[in-house]
Amino acid sequence: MALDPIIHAPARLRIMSLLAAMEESEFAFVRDAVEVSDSVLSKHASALETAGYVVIRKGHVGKRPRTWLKLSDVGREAYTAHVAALQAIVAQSGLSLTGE
Amino acid sequence: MDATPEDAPYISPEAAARSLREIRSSQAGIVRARPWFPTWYPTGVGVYVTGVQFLTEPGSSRPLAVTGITLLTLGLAALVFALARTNRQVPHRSLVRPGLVGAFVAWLLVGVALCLVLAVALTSAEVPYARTCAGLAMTAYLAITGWAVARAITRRIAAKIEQG
Repeated sequence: MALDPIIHAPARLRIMSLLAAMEESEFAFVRDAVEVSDSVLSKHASALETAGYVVIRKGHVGKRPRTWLKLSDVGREAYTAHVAALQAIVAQSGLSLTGE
Repeated sequence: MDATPEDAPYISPEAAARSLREIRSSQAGIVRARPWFPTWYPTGVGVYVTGVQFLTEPGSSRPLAVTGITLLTLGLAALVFALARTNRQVPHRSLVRPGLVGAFVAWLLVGVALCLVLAVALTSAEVPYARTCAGLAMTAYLAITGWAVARAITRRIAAKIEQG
């Protein structure tokens, strides 16, 4: 079980973990939660979309343009496998996740 | 060129543990940030049911009932549309355990049972507009307790995430 190089970077992992918890998330919500700039989130979201991990949907709420992000099925599988790999590393070391 | 094992990213066990803790913490935080469902939705459904009861009480004129129910149904459709449009940022379905859905359904059924029991009791007591009063009681129940139920569900989902 190997770590996924596409989502290994901390910012991408934060984006993926946020999207994994939600059905769909608005761009601004993800940006604020992950604490990155618009351009940084756009760059990571595009890379994840290119990899087939994230689906980007553009729409409107009233007259305001909105962008929505969600994990694709492939992206969810990749995220789950990445987290499983992290858990395996921790388990092999004998560390506990409950302590700080 | 194919990736080799040497190309695979490396992370120390301590960093992996920290990363997992941060993932759980941030997921729990965003799930906890908003209720699982907006209280205005079940309250709106309660208003619809109450309105239909009122318009079909003995003595209501047929044109008024038809017009009123048509308007209420349009209102309900608008409510469903608004829910679908505005409530997309909800916890992923994989995080919602069957027990939580069961608790939500049980909460709804208590409201329906309250409405039915009150309607029968008030009708037996010959209280005017008995079904409307029962509908109002159900709407009040949904409006008053809905927020707490929605929050309790998100708290449970967040707690499950934190447990891993």
